Amino acid sequence: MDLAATELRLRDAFTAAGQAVTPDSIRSLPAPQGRPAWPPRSARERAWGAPRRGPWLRDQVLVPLAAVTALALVAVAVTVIAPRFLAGGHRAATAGAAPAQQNDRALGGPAPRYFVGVRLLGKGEPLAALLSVYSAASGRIVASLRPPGRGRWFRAVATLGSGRTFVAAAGPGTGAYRCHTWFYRFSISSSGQPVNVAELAAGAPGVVTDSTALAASADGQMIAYATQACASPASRVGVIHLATRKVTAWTVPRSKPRSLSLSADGSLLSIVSGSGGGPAEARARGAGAAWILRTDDQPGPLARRYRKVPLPPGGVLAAALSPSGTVLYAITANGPPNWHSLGKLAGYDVTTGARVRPSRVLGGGVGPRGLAVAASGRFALVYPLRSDRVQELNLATGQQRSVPVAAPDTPAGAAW
Amino acid sequence: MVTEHRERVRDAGPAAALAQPEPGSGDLVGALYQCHALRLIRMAVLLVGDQPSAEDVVQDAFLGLHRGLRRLDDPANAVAYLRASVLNGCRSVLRSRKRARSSRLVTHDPPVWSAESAAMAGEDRREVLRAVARLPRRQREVLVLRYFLNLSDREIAADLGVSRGAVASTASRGRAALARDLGGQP
Repeated sequence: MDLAATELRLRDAFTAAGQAVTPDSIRSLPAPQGRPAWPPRSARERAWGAPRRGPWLRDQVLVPLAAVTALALVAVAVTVIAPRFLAGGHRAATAGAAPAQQNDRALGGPAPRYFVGVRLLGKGEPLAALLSVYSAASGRIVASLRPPGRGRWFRAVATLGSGRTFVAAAGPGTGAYRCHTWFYRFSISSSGQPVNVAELAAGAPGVVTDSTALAASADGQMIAYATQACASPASRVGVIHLATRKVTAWTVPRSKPRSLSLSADGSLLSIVSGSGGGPAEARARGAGAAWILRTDDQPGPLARRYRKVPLPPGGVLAAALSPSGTVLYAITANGPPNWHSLGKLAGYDVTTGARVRPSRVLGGGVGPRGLAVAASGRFALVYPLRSDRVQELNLATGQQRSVPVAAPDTPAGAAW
Repeated sequence: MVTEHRERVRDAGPAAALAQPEPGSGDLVGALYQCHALRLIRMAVLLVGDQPSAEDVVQDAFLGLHRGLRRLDDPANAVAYLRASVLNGCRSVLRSRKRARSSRLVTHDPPVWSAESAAMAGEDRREVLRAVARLPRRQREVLVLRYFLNLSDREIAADLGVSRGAVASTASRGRAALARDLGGQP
């Protein structure tokens, strides 16, 4: 082939590939943070080519010093003040004293750019699954994390402290000799690539009961899990304090707890389990009841420790605590029980069961759902486990947005 | 009117964006973004293979321009600066993917081009794009700058920080490799 023809083909291919990016599909430029978009300048400075450097002391010393000081202040605020502020209400909530809304005023921040999902491979081994990083804007997979070891598959994932750090639970494949759950911590880079994958020293007996049976606290100190023994129907709900490696576990005789979530300081744990006593068809969809327990309670039978959140009848499909632990966001079966009814998401006071956040009707049909609340507490990701209707929900405004995840890549569990 | 302005500025070249900021917009970087972002994103897509990464790279380049605009000696160099930033950003993306692959953590490789693009492109074009993706990084960059952005050798040399001779020889080697690679195609 002569070079001229190669050039022609090259230009043609580049043009066609470039045109796939349309003006409507690109994001607008975000406003730069931290200083005015266009600082006013003197007439002399406006003449291009004029010296623009500031004094040495300002540019080389004062500005960096101010930046470091500001960073330190932000770090102190995030690590010391914010957790106290966010955690302030949980005891009051369990005692039923403070209004639920008061402790969620700190909600804020943008929606996370990525979410991590458990993606079933469906190749021979029914438990084969990867962790994939999805773009929250486009729904595309930007990276995936390989299985953590021979014969181990990822089963569940939860965000650990931020939208960038995660904890994942892995279990053995079908027919494996060991019946154990391993935990891994990893982060994702600004471009969504998984980095710093490390196995945690703590593990748990049994295998996780569900792809939603893992939670972590926003302060990054605690993870909660639900596992099931391989030889019996008994389950176990446990929490691990990552700094001290202290494990507290409660036993559950028969049911499989799922949809776990922790308050920001890890003091309260919510689970969905058993039958919610709703209509038969709601039970058939896997609806249960929402339960709350304190993570500093003594180990033992779970039934003696937790208490039911008095939600409206209909059965709970998924639930997640607000950062303060005072509000439980729950997806319940909506309206008259028929297979075409939709789920409904609302926020309820964990003590009284009173609705404190308005209801939002969710699309995507019926069936098991997952609910992941971002560490900021402002955004939720709703993912029907049997369809491709992943939805991003602004919990403050109620605004919904579909995330176009293609059907084979639909996550079975997700975190952000 | 805004569309006309964009077209006019795009046709007139980089300096026009600086000389004629979009009516109603006092933000020079914003005007540059409106005029050049699409082209730069398309270029980045050809280098990194997917639109979200390409958009990230281009936005980072514009934010870098915003931060460093005061140090820019000549405003006409703003677009060249952006191109160089985008090239650097694309290299970083490709390096991080390579690292992730080599540490065997990532199994998912973003496609060489987006699915929509592939659908539009057809098999012949896809084959060309695949062949380009197999070229060494420098050859790929030179070919994209020359045959997609239609830059001169002098401009490419300035963007890449190499001599014009090096650009010419790299482009020549890239074309020859492509011709060999595509030679068996009808």
